[in-house]
Amino acid sequence: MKTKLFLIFGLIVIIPVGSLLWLGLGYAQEEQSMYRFRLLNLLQEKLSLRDAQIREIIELKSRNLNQWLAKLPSREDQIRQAVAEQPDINQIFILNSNNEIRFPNPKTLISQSEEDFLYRTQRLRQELIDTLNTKNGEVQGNKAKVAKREKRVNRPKAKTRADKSEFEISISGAPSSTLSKNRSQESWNAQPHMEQDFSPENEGWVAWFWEEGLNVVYWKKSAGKLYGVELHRVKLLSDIIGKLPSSEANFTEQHPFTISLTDSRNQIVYQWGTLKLEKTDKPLTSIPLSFPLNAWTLAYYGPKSLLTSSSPRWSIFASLIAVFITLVTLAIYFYRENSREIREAQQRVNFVNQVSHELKTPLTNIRMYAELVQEDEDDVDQKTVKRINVIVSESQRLSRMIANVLSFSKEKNNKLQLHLQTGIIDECVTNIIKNFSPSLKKKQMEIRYRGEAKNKVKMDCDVIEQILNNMISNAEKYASEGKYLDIHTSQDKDTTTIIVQDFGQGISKDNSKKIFNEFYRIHNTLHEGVSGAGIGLSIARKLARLHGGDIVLSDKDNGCSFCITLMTPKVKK
Amino acid sequence: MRILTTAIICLSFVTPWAKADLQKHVTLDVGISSPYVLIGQDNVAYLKVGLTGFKLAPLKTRTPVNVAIVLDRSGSMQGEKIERAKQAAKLAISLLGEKDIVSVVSYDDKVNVVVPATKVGNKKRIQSLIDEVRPGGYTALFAGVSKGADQIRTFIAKNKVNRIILLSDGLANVGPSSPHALGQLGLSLAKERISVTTIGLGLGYNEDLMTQLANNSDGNHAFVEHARDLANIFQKEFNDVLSVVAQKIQININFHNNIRPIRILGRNGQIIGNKVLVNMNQVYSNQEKYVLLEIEIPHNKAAKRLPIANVQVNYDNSISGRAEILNKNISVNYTRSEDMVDKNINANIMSAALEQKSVEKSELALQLRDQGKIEEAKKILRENTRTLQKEAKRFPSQVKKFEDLMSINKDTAENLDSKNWSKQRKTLRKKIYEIEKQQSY
Repeated sequence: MKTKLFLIFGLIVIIPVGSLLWLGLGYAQEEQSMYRFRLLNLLQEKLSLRDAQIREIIELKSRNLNQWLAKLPSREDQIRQAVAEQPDINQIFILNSNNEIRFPNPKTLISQSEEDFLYRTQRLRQELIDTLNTKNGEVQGNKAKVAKREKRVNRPKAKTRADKSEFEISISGAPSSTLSKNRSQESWNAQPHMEQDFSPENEGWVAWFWEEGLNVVYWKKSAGKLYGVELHRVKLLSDIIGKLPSSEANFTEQHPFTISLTDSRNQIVYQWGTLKLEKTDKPLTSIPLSFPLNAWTLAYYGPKSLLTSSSPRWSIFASLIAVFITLVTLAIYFYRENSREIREAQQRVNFVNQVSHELKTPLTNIRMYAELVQEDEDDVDQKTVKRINVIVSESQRLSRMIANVLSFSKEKNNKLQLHLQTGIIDECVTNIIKNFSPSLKKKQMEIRYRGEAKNKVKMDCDVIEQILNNMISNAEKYASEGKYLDIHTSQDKDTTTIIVQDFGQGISKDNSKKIFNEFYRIHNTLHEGVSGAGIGLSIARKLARLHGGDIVLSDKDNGCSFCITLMTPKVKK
Repeated sequence: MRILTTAIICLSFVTPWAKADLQKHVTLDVGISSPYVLIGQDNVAYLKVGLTGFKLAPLKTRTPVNVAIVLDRSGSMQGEKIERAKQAAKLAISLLGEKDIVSVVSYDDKVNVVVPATKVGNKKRIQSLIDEVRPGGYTALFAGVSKGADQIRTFIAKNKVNRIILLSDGLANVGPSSPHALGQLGLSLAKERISVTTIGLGLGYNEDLMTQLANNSDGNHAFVEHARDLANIFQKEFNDVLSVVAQKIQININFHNNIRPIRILGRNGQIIGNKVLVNMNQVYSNQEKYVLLEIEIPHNKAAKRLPIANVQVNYDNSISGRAEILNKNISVNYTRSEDMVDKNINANIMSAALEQKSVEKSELALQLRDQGKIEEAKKILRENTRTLQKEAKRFPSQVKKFEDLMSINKDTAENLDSKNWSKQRKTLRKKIYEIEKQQSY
């Protein structure tokens, strides 16, 4: 019983907590991934801002170079001088309208570095020429060709042997500078827009990979000549670093962070922020720079804890714990209340039991002596006899009541027992009726008895007595106006049936089931003032069931008819 | 009486001007090691183009300075080093004037702009900011120099001396860190007329990197073994910086008559056919910087005088603010007499050439030692010493130069595989640099 209770209480606590936990975790996970998603977006946005800053630097350089090229003198030595004085430039090449190299002119005396430059830009120049020709010529057919080339850009090839250059060309035909303000990121990055109209002034960038890494060439087509300007890579990097934030500033971020700029070989070339990086740290997110520096990346490093938002978790757990505690408290409370009630009920029953036991002994004595006096009729006068009869019948009534209470408590303690003995039902019933008759006479009631249970059977006469006593007592209390009480016994194989019928008011259909409940008494004018605890019928039925049978109330127009069945196995002679 | 006073007063105004007028130009000296050569054979000679900065009149305004001090504050600088560095930097501030602009950048694996480019007004405030520099992590040397350059660009101007002074005690390990990369940076900065002086502190820095950076940007280089000497070095550096008289020097040498320039000794330059182009960032007051060329003078049958080359030097005079041009021609004489040849050898130029050649040999020895070829390196150094000894006898007036070189060659030979090699290598590097660039300290 206790384990069952425990189990129930356990379930009461576990099921709601469990389901809340499951829901809560699901929710928290959702929240988490949303948060993470939003955070990464935010971080990427920050990186994009820096990318935009770097793009501006490139844009500025292209404008400067554009202007510089426009003012470029024509004499070789002057060109050389101009190149020497331009810090952003490593070398330049100039091709004429026939795509022949005009500067540096290999047919004249050129310096070693100029020779090296021509050598390493050989393929680049060719590719550039080809791409520009296809742009101006067949537009449709070469979309695929150019697109294929474009794809290669995103996978920079690994560096190779020292004297060979390996490169990927990506060419962007920028619209003329007046439109540059409205340029969106896409078109800046993009592949030759076939829809663009190519005005005679074209310019753009080429990103190519040489042994040292990413190299950037600015090209411009002007007045039939094609200029290619190789940017001084280190200067470009240095300028970018110069403009990116330094680390003494008070950053607005509330967490330690570091942003790093990484080159095409995945080496950090610059970093700023407040977080100290270990070699094994991985960034939270990173983006490649815009073209032509798309082989470089910006990466955001932050504490891992940034990715987990602790707040939903906390509140969920807190509320779960609160619910859990509440439920456990309630469960404990109810359990204790329950056991207390059970205990108290038990105590009451025990008390009553105890009292009844106490009462039984003196009562037995009273009955015994009173019955003794009754037997001595001859020695006693009529008046005394009458008085004795009253004493006897009242004490019998008391006995019956006490017997009921005792049975009641025994039944509660599961201690009701059947003591079967061999006997004849009719004899038992006759005796019972005889004992009851004096009380009934007072109420002008008469029992009409028809006994047809004459077999020798196993039966518990005390139990039968108690049952019938209750039935008759009820009839006496509530059906006395019917004058008669019919009792009819019959037997069929191992079953004895006793029918007790009165002719009182009868019982309504609503009450017919309820009357068998403990403590239940019908409330109407008939029952006002009639004493009784309401346990009679319930005891009777329990006893009948104990005896292997039952008591059933059948519907009759003019009173009640109780049908008592008992299991009475025949005894073989 | 009145007239006399007025006259004296007027004269006193004029005289300083006149005096100053005399010293206002850079002096160009062009010479050849052997003004007389033998006929009938190809001759190798050395052409020296020397530039000497004019004396700065005392109490007159010097060229204003735009300097960025870039300090290494990586973890290895902890302790005395960083304290001394800060001291030296603060000392430098105290040497500057109101018209100067200073910025201070510190770096470990990240870069901090300690003092953004600002006029040197409140020296105390600037110095107190320097005090707050603390040692940190790794070494982002490239980024430090880049930020310094960015600070310089804020107020960069033709009429200022734009200089980055880099102090480092360790190996660059964040960002580009090869001598080549830093050399490239130096080149591009030189084009912007920013020169970088590199000061290596202790025994842990990369001297190749530091010298490349200084070399290509035409700055100075110093090896400071003990931090307590930093202040002294800074002082010397600033002596140079505050004495710049000319900037953006372009030396154009045009060779005539099949004279072939073979190579430039000790400096960067371009040889295109019979033209030689050498750039220098600045020339200091009272200091000579020179370009030394090895040239081949073709044989000739007749004894005559042959013009060899025309030297043109363009530069910006920092004091007057004007662009000036210097021009000189040089000729050589053919003779039959060996005696003539020997008697007329220019000791100064010849010894300079020998110096440079011995420095080249030392450089070679250093590279051999790097490759682990210790014995070969030793051989070369010993040879070098012997050659120097011989030449010292030939040119007794230049003995001092040779002695210095001899001792360093000897020291290097002895320390090739000792535990002192790191220090020796740095000392040698610094010496090589000093001679190639005619550094004053």
